[in-house]
Amino acid sequence: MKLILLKSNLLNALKSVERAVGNGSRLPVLQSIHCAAAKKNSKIVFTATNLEIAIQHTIQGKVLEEGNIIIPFSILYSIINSLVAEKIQIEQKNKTITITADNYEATINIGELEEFPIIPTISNTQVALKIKTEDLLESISQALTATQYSEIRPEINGIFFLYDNQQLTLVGTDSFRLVEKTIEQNKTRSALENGTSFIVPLQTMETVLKIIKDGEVEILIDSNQALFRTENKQLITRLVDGAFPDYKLIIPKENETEIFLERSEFINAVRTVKTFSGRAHDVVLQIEKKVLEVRSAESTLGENTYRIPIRTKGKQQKIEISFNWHYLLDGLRMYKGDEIILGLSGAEKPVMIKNQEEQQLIYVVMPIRV
Amino acid sequence: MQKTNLNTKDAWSAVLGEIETQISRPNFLTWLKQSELLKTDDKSGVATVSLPNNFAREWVKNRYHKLILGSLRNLDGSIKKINYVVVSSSQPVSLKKQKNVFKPSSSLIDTQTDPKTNLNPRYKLDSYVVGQSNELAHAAAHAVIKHVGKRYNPLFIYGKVGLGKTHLIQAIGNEITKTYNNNVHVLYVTSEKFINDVVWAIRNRRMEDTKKKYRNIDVLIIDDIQFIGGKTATEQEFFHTFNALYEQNKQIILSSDRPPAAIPTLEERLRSRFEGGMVADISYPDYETRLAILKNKVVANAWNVEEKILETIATKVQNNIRELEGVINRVMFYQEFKNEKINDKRLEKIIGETTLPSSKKISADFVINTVAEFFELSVADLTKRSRKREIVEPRQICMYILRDTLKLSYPHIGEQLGKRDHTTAIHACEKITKAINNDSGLNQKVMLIKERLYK
Repeated sequence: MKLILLKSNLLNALKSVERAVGNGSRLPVLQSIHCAAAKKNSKIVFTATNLEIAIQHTIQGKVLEEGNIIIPFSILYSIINSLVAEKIQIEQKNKTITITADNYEATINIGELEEFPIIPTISNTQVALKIKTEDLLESISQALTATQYSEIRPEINGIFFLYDNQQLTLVGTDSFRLVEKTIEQNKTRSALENGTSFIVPLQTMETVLKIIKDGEVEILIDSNQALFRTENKQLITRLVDGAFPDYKLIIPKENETEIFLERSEFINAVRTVKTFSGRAHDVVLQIEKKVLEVRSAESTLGENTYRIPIRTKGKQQKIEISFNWHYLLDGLRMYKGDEIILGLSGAEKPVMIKNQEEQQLIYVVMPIRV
Repeated sequence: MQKTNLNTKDAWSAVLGEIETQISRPNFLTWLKQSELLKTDDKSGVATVSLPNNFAREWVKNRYHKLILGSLRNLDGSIKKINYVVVSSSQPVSLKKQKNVFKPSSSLIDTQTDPKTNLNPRYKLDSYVVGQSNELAHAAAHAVIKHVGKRYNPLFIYGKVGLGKTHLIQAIGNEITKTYNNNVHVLYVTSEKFINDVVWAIRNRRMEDTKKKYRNIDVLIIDDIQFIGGKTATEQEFFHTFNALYEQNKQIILSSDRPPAAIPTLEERLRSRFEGGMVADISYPDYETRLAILKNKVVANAWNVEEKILETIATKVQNNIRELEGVINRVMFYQEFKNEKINDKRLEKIIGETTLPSSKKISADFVINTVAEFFELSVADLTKRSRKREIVEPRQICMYILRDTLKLSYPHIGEQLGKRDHTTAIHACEKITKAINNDSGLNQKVMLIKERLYK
C-alpha cells in the first residue's frame, strides 16, 4: 500500500474513529485501526471497533498502491496530530509502514490483518429514516438530558426511537424524569411502518453527537443493529434488547393547574436558592395565588426564598412541591423560549415543563416525596 | 461415525474444549466464551449456536466455522450445517418487560401507604377476623368509627405481638377516612416516628412545627405507645398533645403490648389518662378464629389448599397470627413453586422452621411444677394414684403438654407422672388433643399454662 494524504483529512478521520478504538484489554488488536485503500475511486477507509460499535470514516487521497493494513491507533494519532506538514505519505513495507512528511520520517510496526474483527453488516439495506443532521442532533441531545446510565435497567440505557403517525419521536428517561421530542413530519423521510420502535444505546447516541456533523443522516436498522450513515462516515451499533417502558402513561394528559413564568428568572431563582439545599438536592416550590416561591433550607446553614410573579390557568390551588434542583435546571435549560409553562396536578404527581413555542418538546419530572 | 446422545450443553463444552487448544487465549475469550449451543435438529442436521453480539457472529462464522463444524461432527455425525444467531447477553433484568420504571410514582403504589394519613389501605375492617379473643376491641373500634371522639376516648388496645393490633387500629383509621369522605384528618404514626419528630424538633428548634402537625389532627393513631415510656421530653410533648386533642374532642387511638398499668416507666399522669377511655385487650385467638383467619387468607389469594392442612396449622400455631400467616405462605410456596405435595412430615417441618420456639430450655419437672401451680395443686397431687376429677384433668393436660411441646416418649411421660403405664399417657394425649378443639375453656387453660412456661 502506498498513499498520499492531506494531513487535515487524515486527522479528521482519526478523530472520528477514535471513539470506537477499544482499550485492548481482551483483544490487543482492538487498539489498532483498519485502513483500506482502493485505487478505483481514490477512497481510503479507516475503521475502528470496540465490539460494541464500529466507526468508519472515508477520506479522499491519492492511492498509488492498493492495500489493507492494521495500524496501532495511538502512535499514528499522536504523530499526525503534532505534524505541521500538509501532505503525508504512508507506505507499507512488509510488516511495517513508513510515514513521511517534509522533514520527518517514522517507521511503525503494523498488526496482523487476520486478527482484526470483521465488521458486521446490516441485513436490511433499505434506508429506514432520513433526517437532517442538525434536527437529529438537537433531538438526541435533548433526549439525552433526561438519561443517566443505570446498571439495573438496561432497557432505559438508551434513546427510544418511535416512528408513528408519520412522525419520529425520541424519548429518554432515567425513571425520575423524561424527555419526549417529536420531530415534525416534514423533516423526516421514512420507509418504516407506523408503530416501529427501537432503542439505541446511550454511548452510541453520545458518539453520534460527537462525530456526525452536517448534511443528512440515514439510519438503517435490522433486528438487533442500527447503522447511522452520512456521506463519509458510518457507525454501526447494537440495539438495546428489551422493551422500553410505556412512557406515555407517565406524561400527564391534563394538568390541573398551569403556571406561566419567565424562564430566565426561574433558572436564576433555582440557581440562587439551591445554595441552601441539603443532601437530597431538594428545593421547594410553593405556588399560591400569583406568586411562586422557590426556597430551600438546611438546618446548619440557614434558609432562603425567591419570589417570582406568575400567571396561572386552571384550578386555583396552593401547592407545595419539592424537586431535585439538578432535574429542574436540566429541564429548564433545554428550552429556548422566554416563557415557560409548569403543569401541575398536586404535590405527588409528575410535573410537566413545556413551552408555547416548542410544542414538540415535553419534559416531565417527578417531585421528591418528603 | 457413532452417534452419541449428549445434551447440548455437554456437547458444546466438549467442542469449546477442543477449539480452545487451537486458537489464542484472547481470541477464545473474546469470541467464544459466551457462546452456547442452543439446539440441534437431528432431521435437518442443523445446529444453532448463539453468540453475544454481531461482531462475534461475523467472526465465528468466517473464521471458526470449519473448526466448530468439525468438532461438532465428531460428536454427532448428523450435523451438516450451523446457524449462528445473536442472543444479547444483557442481564435477565430485561426480561421483566412490563415493569413500570417510573419509580417515584410507582413507589406510591408499591408501598401503598397513603402519604397524608400514613395508613396502609391493605388493613381493612372487613378482613379483620373477630373471635372471642378480640370481640371487645372490635366492638370498641366500631363504636369509635361511629362516634369519632365522643364515645371511647382514648381507645387503648393492648395485646401480645402478632395478634393484630396494628391491623385493627389501621383499619379504624381507614374506615374513618372512608366513612367521612376524607373530611376527617387521620394520622397514623408509630411511637418511634413520634419520638423522632420530637427529637428533630428539639434539635432544630422547630417545636412549633411539630406541635402544629400533631394538634391539627382529628384522629391521632399511635402504634406501640409503650416505647415512649421513660423518654421524658417525648412524654411531655405527647402529654400536651394528648390534652390539646382531648379537649377538642379529637379521637386518640393507642396500641401497646401491655396494659397502661404495666408500662413500667410511664408517668402517672399519662397512665391515668390512658385508663380514662376504653382499654380493650386482644388475647390469643381460639382455634376457630385461627382457622377463620387462615381461610380468609386462602380465599383472598385464591389459593388451593386442603382443608386438613389448614386445620393442622391452626392447631399447631397458637400464639401468633403473623406466624400463622408465615406458615401458610410457606406452605403455598412449596406447593406452587416447588410443586411439592405437602404431607404431614413436610408440614411439621415448615411449622417448626417458621414458629420459633422460645430459646428457653424447658424440663419435664418445670412443666409439671407449672401445671401444678396453675391448678393450685402440689406436684405430689399430680403424681399420686388419685382418680378424682379435679386431679385427672390437670394430669392429662400435663401429659399433653409434655408430649406436645417437649416431644417426650409416652413411656417417659408415664414414668414422670407417678410411674404410670405408657398407654395411660397415650390415652391422655389423645383425649386432650380431641377435646382442645371443641372445649374453649380447656384450650384457654392450656394456652395460659404454655404462656407461663415460656415467660
